[in-house]
Amino acid sequence: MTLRVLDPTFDNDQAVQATVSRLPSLAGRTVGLLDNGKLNVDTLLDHVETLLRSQHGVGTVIRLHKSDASRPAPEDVVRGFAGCDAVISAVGD
Amino acid sequence: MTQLRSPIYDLADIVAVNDMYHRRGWTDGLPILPPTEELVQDCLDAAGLAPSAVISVESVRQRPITAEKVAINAVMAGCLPAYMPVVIAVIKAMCQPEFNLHGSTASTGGSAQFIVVNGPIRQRIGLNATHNVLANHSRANACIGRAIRLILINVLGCVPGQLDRSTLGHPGKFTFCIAEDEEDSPWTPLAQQRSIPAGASAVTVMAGESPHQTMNEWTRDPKEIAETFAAEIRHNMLTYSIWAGNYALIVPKQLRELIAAAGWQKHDIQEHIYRSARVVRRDWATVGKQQIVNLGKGADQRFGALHSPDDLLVVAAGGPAGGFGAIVPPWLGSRSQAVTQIIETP
Amino acid sequence: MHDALTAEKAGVAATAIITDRFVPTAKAMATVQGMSDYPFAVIPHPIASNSEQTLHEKAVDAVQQCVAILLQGETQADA
Repeated sequence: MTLRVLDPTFDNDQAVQATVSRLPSLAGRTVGLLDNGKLNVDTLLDHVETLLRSQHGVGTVIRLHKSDASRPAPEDVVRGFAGCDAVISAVGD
Repeated sequence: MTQLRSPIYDLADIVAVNDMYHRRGWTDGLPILPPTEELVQDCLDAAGLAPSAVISVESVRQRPITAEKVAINAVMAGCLPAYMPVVIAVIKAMCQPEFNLHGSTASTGGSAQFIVVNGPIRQRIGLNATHNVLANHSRANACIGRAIRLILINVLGCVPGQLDRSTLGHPGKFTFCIAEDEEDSPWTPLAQQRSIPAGASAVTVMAGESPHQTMNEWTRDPKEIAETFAAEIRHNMLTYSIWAGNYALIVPKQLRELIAAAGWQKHDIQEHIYRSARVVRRDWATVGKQQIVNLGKGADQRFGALHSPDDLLVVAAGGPAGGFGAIVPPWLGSRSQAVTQIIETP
Repeated sequence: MHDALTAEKAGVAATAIITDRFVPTAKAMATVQGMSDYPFAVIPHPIASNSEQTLHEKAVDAVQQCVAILLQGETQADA
């Protein structure tokens, strides 16, 4: 006699595959840089900001911060994404 | 039976089931009971839930946790159907926003869900509150805690190295569930302190680090007894994490009798520890953390272990002999807060 | 990682900078969010204890990867 047993896992097929947005160029664009509040991530992003401006012609850089790395960004930060052409989130650790 | 939606596998025997489930990463490393349709249905019936009923939604993954998946994992963990209402209540508690389920399970800090059960269901399902309370003994304690771990692994992807980034973890991640010894305690049960009416059953769940055992058998003074616990909390603040949050305190019968004989209630212990479990930033220099003494507000900055006396979860539990106690520290201050959830029985 | 995915779901081109020890976690989060092949930049762990010069070098590395991802959706992390 065989055992008929059930799958204990969440069915990943239920998740919808999202499409991603891409840009033709960063020149003159607004880029949001999100730091997660961990030590030195702000300094890393200072360098990233300088490089994006000097080497890739990025027009405006918006610095976004979250104070709790263990949770998703709060709503006011997410609203800030809307004003950006691109967002880079830095995890650090 | 026809309502169950999970994929079904026909396997030769219990050994084949364990081989496949281990190979696919669906266990905690220990053998599991095969989750057959019949056993899973028994668990759903005991909970009075349809398989598709959504118990909670985990907010970061936006992933629903259905009764069917809870029941499958509970069977695998060894749960009897009568344990289901407790497992369901723990899931609901963990999915409250203040618990921060994703942060506390993904963190390198490696916490486990410390579960304290109160109310009449404890005796109905045989939960242990006395000898060896933090360890092996009763099926109910062992399997309820284990069911939560298997649900985290299989439904929420808390797989070590993937969405569980614990550097070390601790043994409580296998199972970490106790009952309060209400019958042999002079004090208000934890759930009632946290607004659950008397006569109802409830779980209190916190993201806890491993328990630290203490011992003081050389005093009858409740202040001195409380001071031993406070010292262990101060030590944890310096060597692990300084941030204030929920600490649990396990107080065994021998110490309860001495504390109660002096007229102290739980709130007297809470008040004492609230005032005593404090450190200053310069104390970090004594534990090898000189580098961070002068950050923040400087060496004189004061820190308390508790935002308020209520942050301390005092639980009467443990065997009758011995002046041992334990603290269970929080994962990371108040980034995850303890949640108390009523247990609904159909 | 989750925040980059949130931005992407809102229609904003996004990516994340991850340290190499967290790559499996980033991939797992992308998978549960329904974007299992989501590209991100990878730099060496850690960040917290780095010197200014090391942070600069990691920033150069990160920017190169991020720009490639944001413009074409390609990842050097997979290479």
